[in-house]
Amino acid sequence: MTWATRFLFLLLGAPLLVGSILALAPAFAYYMPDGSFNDPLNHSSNHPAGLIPPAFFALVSTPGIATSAMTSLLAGLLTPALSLVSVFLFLAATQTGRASKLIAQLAAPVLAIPHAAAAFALALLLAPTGVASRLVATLAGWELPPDYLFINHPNSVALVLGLALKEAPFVLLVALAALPSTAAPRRVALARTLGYGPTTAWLLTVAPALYPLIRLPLFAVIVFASSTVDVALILGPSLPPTLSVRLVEWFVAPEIEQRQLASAAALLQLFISLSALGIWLLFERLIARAYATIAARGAPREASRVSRFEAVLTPVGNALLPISLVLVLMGIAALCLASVGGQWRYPTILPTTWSLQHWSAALSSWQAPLFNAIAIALLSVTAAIVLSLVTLEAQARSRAGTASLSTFLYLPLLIPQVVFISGIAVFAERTRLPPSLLLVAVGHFFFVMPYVYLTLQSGYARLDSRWLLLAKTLGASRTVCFWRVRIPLMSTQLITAAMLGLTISLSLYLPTQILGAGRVPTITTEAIALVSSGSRGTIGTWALLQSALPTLCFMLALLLPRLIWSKRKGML
Amino acid sequence: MNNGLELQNVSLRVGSRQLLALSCSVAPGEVITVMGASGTGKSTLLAFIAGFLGDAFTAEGKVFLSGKELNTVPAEQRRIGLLFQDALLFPHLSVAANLKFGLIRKVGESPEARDSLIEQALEKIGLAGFGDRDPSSLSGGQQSRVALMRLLLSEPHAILLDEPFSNLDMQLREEIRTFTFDTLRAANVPAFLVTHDLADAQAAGGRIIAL
Repeated sequence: MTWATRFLFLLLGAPLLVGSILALAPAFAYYMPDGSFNDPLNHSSNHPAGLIPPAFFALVSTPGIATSAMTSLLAGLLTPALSLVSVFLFLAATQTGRASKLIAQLAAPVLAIPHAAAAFALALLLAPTGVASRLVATLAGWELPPDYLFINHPNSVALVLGLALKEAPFVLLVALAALPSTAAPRRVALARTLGYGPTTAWLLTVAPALYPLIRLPLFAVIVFASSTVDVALILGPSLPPTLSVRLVEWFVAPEIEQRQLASAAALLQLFISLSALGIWLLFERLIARAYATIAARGAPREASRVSRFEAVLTPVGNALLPISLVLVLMGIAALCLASVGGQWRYPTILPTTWSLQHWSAALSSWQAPLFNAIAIALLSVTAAIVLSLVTLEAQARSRAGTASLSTFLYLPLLIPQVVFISGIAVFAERTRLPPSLLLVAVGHFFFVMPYVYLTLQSGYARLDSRWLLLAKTLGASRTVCFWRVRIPLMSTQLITAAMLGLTISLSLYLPTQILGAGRVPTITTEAIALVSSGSRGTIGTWALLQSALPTLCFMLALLLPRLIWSKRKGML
Repeated sequence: MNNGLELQNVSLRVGSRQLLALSCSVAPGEVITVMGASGTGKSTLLAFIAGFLGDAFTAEGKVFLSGKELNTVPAEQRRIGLLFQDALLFPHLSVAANLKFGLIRKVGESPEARDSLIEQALEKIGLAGFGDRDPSSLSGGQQSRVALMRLLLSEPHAILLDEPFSNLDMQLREEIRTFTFDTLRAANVPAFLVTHDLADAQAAGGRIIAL
């Protein structure tokens, strides 16, 4: 292992460890019989009076805590399941033909849209007076909006749907990236000659090879979905909210008891997220066993049996993912309409009057949040790129192994954000670091780093080693090799990494809110602050504003290489 | 003062398996051909001489260039040029910038002098005025010629050729082969060719070592 790799392990590992400990430790605080307070972080000389710390009693006796925890657990399981099923069925049904390329191109920009904006879009689309309801009303002749609760419903359908709409494109792109190494066409061809229909053939032969390759990203989806705060604030149940939302409420409360409650909740959150992972692993086993049973049944010989299975799965696979993308696009259209709508009587599909008042109102207050968001994103992404390059270059020169590091880098994505970030906030308080833009950027770094590093790592791995050998035989030093050969040849991956990092940072809510203590507003925190108070028009405007920069980054990732290398066709 | 390339009791192994053992010296202007089926360690031998032998291999013996032992000299300071199967023109650089990449920096030389040197070099390979072109717009034969000229401009003291014609189609192969060997002889540097094509060896016109 090179010194740079060790350094990176320490740089990521130490804050993760310290952050998690600090987040969880206050839960173990005791009041002494004399009324004084025994804080385990300050001294450990006094022994606790009871076996179970009072914060746990407080947590257990909090009304609705079990419901909150169950909601988080279910969201953590259903979101990845829904995403995985829709993506695998889609790939099986389309056999990665022309349709899947088109859908992948549609899915990629959806990835750039912040979770919160997508959640707002879904809310404006599917609410009782939303655009979807208006469409049906116009066709069916309804006069009044239907009476149903979608957003904030205790059954969390909206929450899971909102999360899955964003995670399915992510799973799709991860799967498409891994697909070439499974030699899918050959597997399918072989299975078809043995009598299986194409969709069934893909599910039986390609899926088992593809799944292990996308497992880690799926784990990240599980942890994210079970602990998300922003989407849960917008779409999740409110009576009671998800565990993560309540945790944040307690954490930002001024009373010390609430802090301890938040800590106990953080422990519960960690347990819930790990349970979701554990249950997922259990299902992996069960499904693997089911696969073995199905495979042992042998190939279907009669045409009717082939077609029955196929006939169900193929249309479902073709429809599921495209429908979810259409929902997102319609939601964005709803945001656009709301942002320029004046009067909008139900059930008309378009606003009756148009107005720019939401935009002009937003324009008067968006400079500071915009500046903050860009500054934080640039700081965290620059740090991530420099550190990744230093580490990768040191590894390339020493030819040391990299596998353990890339798994380790997933760690910030496998620990619930709320737990880790609240611990970092406690650390900052104790070391008297005031909430600042820089502190927020440090928090963002941990979530930007994995994606930046993994993108650049694949760039390092993919670069033909002969380029550097050639440069050396032409007398180029290591420095020249790096700056004049490696960096330009990897420019596309560098741009992708930078834009991916910027997109992630620009969309992050929780680290900004907690580490900035509300004093470093960004477009994202401002948009989410509107959830309880904002009108439809204001929400539409801010959700679009929030999506604008990430979308721009996404377009730049595609356009910049073409612009830079317009005269060098070999680079594209 | 180039007295050629000398290999003294070179032996290459993977683990305990011996790949090859070889002693020979190549005079300036001579092209020695090493022939053998794949897996006999031809490319490994070139990697050893050039200075980037992989960790999996162990090597014994010494390499001398112009009387100087090279074993501990890093690849970029050995002054040994390598011609690959593909032209490998840097796709991010223009044709002229590709040629300049290996050009030895001389104290007090003006940029204009370097530019005119490049222009002369392009003329020599029949590509006058191609300096600003995108390398990907060149034909396969043109790319090969630029690659060879880039190598020569770095003023190597020895040249290694790793099956340099095997990715060219038949017609082009003949033309580039003649051009390459004529140029190498004119440059008067020792050259070491590795190939499994007997026609390459015959065109090289030097001694042939079969592995």
